[in-house]
Amino acid sequence: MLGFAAVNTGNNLIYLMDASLLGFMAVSGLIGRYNLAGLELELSMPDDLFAGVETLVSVRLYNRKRFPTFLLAVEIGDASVLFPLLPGRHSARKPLPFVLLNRGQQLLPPGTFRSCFPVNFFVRSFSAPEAGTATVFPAPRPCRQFIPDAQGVQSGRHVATKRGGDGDIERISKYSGQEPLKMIHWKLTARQGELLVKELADSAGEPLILDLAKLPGKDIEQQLSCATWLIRHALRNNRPVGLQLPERMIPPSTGRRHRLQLLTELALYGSDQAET
Amino acid sequence: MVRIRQKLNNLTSIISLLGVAPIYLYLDLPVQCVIISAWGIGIWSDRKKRYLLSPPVATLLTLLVFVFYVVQIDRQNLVLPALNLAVLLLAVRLLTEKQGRHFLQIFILAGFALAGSTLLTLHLSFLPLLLLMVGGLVYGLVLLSFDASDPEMTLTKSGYRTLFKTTLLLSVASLFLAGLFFFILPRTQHPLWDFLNPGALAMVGFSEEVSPGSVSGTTTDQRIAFRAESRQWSPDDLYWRVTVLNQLDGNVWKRKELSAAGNAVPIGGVNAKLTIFPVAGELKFLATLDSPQSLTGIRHATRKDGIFTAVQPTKRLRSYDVVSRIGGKIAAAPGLDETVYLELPKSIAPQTRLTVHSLLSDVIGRGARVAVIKAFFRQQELVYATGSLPTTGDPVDTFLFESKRGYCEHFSSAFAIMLRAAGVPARLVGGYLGGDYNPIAGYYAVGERTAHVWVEYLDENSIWQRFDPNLLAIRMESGLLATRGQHPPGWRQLMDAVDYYWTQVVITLDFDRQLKVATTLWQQWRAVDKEGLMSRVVMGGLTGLLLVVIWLLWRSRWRRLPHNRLVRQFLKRVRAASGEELPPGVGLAGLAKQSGSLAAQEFAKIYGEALYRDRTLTPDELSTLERLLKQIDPHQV
Repeated sequence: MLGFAAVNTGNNLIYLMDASLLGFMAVSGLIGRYNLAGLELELSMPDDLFAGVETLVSVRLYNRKRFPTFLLAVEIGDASVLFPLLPGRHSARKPLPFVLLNRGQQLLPPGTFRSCFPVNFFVRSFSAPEAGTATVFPAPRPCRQFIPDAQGVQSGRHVATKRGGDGDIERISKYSGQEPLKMIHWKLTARQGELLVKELADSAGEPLILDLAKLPGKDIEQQLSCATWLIRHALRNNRPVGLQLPERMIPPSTGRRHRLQLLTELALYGSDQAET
Repeated sequence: MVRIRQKLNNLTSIISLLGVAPIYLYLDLPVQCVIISAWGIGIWSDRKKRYLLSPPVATLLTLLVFVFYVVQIDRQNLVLPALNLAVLLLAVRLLTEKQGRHFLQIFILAGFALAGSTLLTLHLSFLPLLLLMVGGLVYGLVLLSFDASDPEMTLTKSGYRTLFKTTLLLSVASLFLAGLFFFILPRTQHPLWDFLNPGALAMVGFSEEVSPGSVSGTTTDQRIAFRAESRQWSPDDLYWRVTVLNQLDGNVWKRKELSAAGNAVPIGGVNAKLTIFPVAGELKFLATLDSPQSLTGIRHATRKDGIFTAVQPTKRLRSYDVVSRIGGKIAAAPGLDETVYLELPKSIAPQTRLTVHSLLSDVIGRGARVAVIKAFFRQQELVYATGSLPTTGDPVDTFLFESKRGYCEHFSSAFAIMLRAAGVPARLVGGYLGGDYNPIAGYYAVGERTAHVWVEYLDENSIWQRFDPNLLAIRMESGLLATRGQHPPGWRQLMDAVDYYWTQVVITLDFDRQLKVATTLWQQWRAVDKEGLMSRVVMGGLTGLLLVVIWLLWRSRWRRLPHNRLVRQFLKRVRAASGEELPPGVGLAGLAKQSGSLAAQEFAKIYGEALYRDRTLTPDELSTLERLLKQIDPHQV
């Protein structure tokens, strides 16, 4: 409208306003483009990433430029997180709710940088240069009826208890020189005149060995989901879990590393056969 | 932490103020009251979150205001109703709760008001307002983007500082480009809506008639009549010629177009080139420096007595170029009827006529007669005065024999009448005397207060001799020369230089000047590049650059084509295999796995590696993917 007025009136002051608007449009285009340049995206995936289950991914954004970046939305899949202002040569980290639908070694969907800066009339976007992969565990499916009792279950077999370090006192024995000092029963030692140590029962529950073939489910995916739930449930209750695979067996144990090993086996189950 | 919305509210108040300020005094009184009230109440409402107008009431008011002013608009009265309407709409918007688009509406209305002010005045004050408005609008639009992303967003003080600095950079860069765009945006030679533009000021000091004794003083108006870009000349040469008055109608000197075979020709003197920038509009007579030789840059007519008139007087200010001969004389046009310059109404100045006859009864020759009259003037001890002069029915006799006080019109009219009575052809020349040379920008500022009249008489050689009888007044240092020698202080010269550049660079830029600049640049280029070699090199370079750009665009598109085609075929085959729509949010790898096809999974792996690392597929990879695609048989999946 201003352009129309300028041409028809020949009024140079209206031409000045037109020129200012044109100048702003040109510069805003360049600045908008520059706003999306020089960015590095890094996604830190959580240990537990289950298919179809929303989880928080840590998004780290680094601005390599000298100048700040404004109103930057990082989009991964359907999820998005906004960085209102990231100064030049600074980084910031934000959580992003995220879902991967399938188990296995998955390529992460490409990230997109999107920004409406400096004016909300145009939204510019750039593909993030790096994506990466993540191991997605099968979606956990409750199998409460399959929680094994203390004497073993349908899908597992019972293994004898062992000595532990955090249960009740089972017996008193002589100090062999191997036991830690904290196990010495000082009262009895003083009374008997020789070093006696406490032998404690293992407080962990009965070990559980899961055999995928015997788990309920219409197909292998449901069985894997059931196994996932059982592993998480058992380990949460400090119960050792093992896994019987077609060609090998992973002995029962506890701990974070063991848990990740079991879940990774479930995540990648069948991928070898598919590739061979 | 301060909310973006709060900053946006504050900035919106400032922008609306900037838009309304230049037109405020032109608005209807009720509108002036409404906008001031709305501005204050708007600020209060934004702070308290309580608004005077609900959206339905605001819409109704908007409609009523619109109808009220639209019916007043016609061709003669277009600008002011439109501006009153815009300001009232702005007031309504200030009084209501604001969302994103409402802020934008306020920005547009404020910009419209500022643009409208240019149809009322072309004053230099527009420039700082424009700069502030551009800065404000840029910052406002940026804040609006933040607000659109999250209306509850807050930023720290350092965050706002960073944002402000970036916005400042954006504004400065925009204005820099605006300067470039301003000069290259195309102008039309004859704008259709020229009638909407504000008229320039009328001349107030200069008059097309000289009527000594009709008023008791001269103008003391401090306005500039025109500026003349030139080197500096002696003050004695600064006689700016505008019109020639050749006929006495009673006591009033008037101009009558005379017929002559040819034009007046300047002779002698030094050539001087000047560019004249009139400040007053609707020019009929075009000012030149005595003695003018030629005039270009504006459509004009050259008169027989060495003056120029505009063919189509216009409200638009336009500059023109003049070539003058400083210190030169004007030779009478061939075929000039001298008797016209000897005519005297019988009823005027009887005492003066008698005096002339008694003085010159035995004096022969025009030169000698002129000398006698000059001596008489000196003898009368006439005083140059600009105020408290008697108004009388016979101003010449009163001036020469009674009051002996007067200003240029009295001196020149009396001298010319005496010359005519003595048989020496004479005429009055109206224009300006002197001018303040501005060393900062290299021009003369000629003020309305320097409007002047002097005499030209024809000597025996048919040469018009310029003579200023005002110089015969006693105590000239406190008279005419005193009024001409009042040089403005330095700061005023600086301000005037800014105003001069404003007029020269911005206000008077039009199609002709654009064409002139382009032609000059082209001629200068041709002068440097006589063989045309550089032109060919530049044209070749530009053509090469264009070809490179086209090739890069084509290559970029071509590089993406195989990617897109391969993915389309992949999806088509996988869709055909599954027999249903592909689930959203599943990547190629997921789809490949779902399909169960080893070829599809291999395809996804190769493609994904290339895509997610932002590199193009190698020819080997392309052929592998082509092969894998063929292996994904939908009927076998």
